[in-house]
Amino acid sequence: MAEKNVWIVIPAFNEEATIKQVIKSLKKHGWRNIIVVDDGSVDNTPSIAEREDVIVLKHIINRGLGAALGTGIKAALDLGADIIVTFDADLQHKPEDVERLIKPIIQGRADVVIGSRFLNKEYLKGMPLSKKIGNIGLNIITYLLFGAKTSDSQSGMRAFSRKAAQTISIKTNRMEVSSEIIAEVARKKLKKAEIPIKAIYLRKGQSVWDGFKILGKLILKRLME
Amino acid sequence: MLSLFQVLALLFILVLLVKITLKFKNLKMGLGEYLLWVLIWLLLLIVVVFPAMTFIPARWLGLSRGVDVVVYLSIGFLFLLVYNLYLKIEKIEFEITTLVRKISFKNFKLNEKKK
Ligand SMILES: Nc1nc2c(ncn2[C@@H]2O[C@H](COP(=O)(O)OP(=O)(O)OP(=O)(O)O)[C@@H](O)[C@H]2O)c(=O)[nH]1
Ligand SMILES: [Mg+2]
Repeated sequence: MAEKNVWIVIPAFNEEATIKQVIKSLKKHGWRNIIVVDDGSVDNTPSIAEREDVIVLKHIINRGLGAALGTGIKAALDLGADIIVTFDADLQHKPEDVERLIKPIIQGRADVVIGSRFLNKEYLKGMPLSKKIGNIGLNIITYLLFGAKTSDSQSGMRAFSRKAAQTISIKTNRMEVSSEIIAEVARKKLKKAEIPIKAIYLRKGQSVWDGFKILGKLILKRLME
Repeated sequence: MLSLFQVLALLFILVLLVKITLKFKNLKMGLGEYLLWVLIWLLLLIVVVFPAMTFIPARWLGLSRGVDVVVYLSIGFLFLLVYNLYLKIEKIEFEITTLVRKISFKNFKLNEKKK
């Protein structure tokens, strides 16, 4: 099989502490096609990324994760990507997982692959309890509201085939995008696979309150559509 | 005799009627929208001056009190208004993101050319 054209999309908002290492470690694992979407950071994220010989697209104001992913995915499609991987900028994801993540797509078994933090009990150990509860809660909400089943609706590590990336329409701007993507996969009847990944928790990230904001946005979305 | 509340409500309605009429005259509002608002405010005007009149629609709807009709209609109206606002805001949010995205692509291409 011919080499697939794989593009990595990194949404980044105020990630100056980690963005350089994220890019470098991805490159070390052989991933050269990288798009960083700077989501209106007020720190040095964009200038640091620009020194790393990757594509940096800059949102002039902060629009949220959903908007950043939408920008990165559109750019990757324009650049002729066969497979698009989304990868967080805060060192939570391991670059060695990308290979396994895209395998189901290369083998034609899936259109979308979710890197799930909930498939391996060992991997789950580092996750704070409040996040475990929040994530499982949002999995249930995603199922109840959109009929879309998954073991990790909030994972930032995903892979899309070109077809899937073209089919899925992202309309939400902020953190609720993760559930929206899962809902779209179910709605458009795309083939979904999940592989276990380990996420590392070093710093703040999303709060319990942020979790409730996602809940509110998802309910509104369901009611209004 | 009109009560103080009725006088204040009447003044409020009159001011709003003048305001939308000016808006319509300055071509900032379409005819359809203008007539709709005039109808709504005139109806309210009637209700304020002759509150007893509301017993007629209350009868039709099987409600015992006239004010209930006004309260229910107001809630329904507010709900529609909020729904409309929600849709408008969603649309504007979407447009802002589209704009921000386009600018990011454009700036990237400009930078490439400079290199
Ligand atoms: N918080 C936040 N992150 C954004 C935004 N736009 C893009 N991102 C990026 O989205 C990715 C995920 O954001 P996080 O805040 O870490 O959210 P998370 O990983 O789902 O939550 P945690 O598990 O708590 O870390 C990171 O790479 C951010 O840089 C934004 O507007 N706000
Ligand atoms: Mg994170």
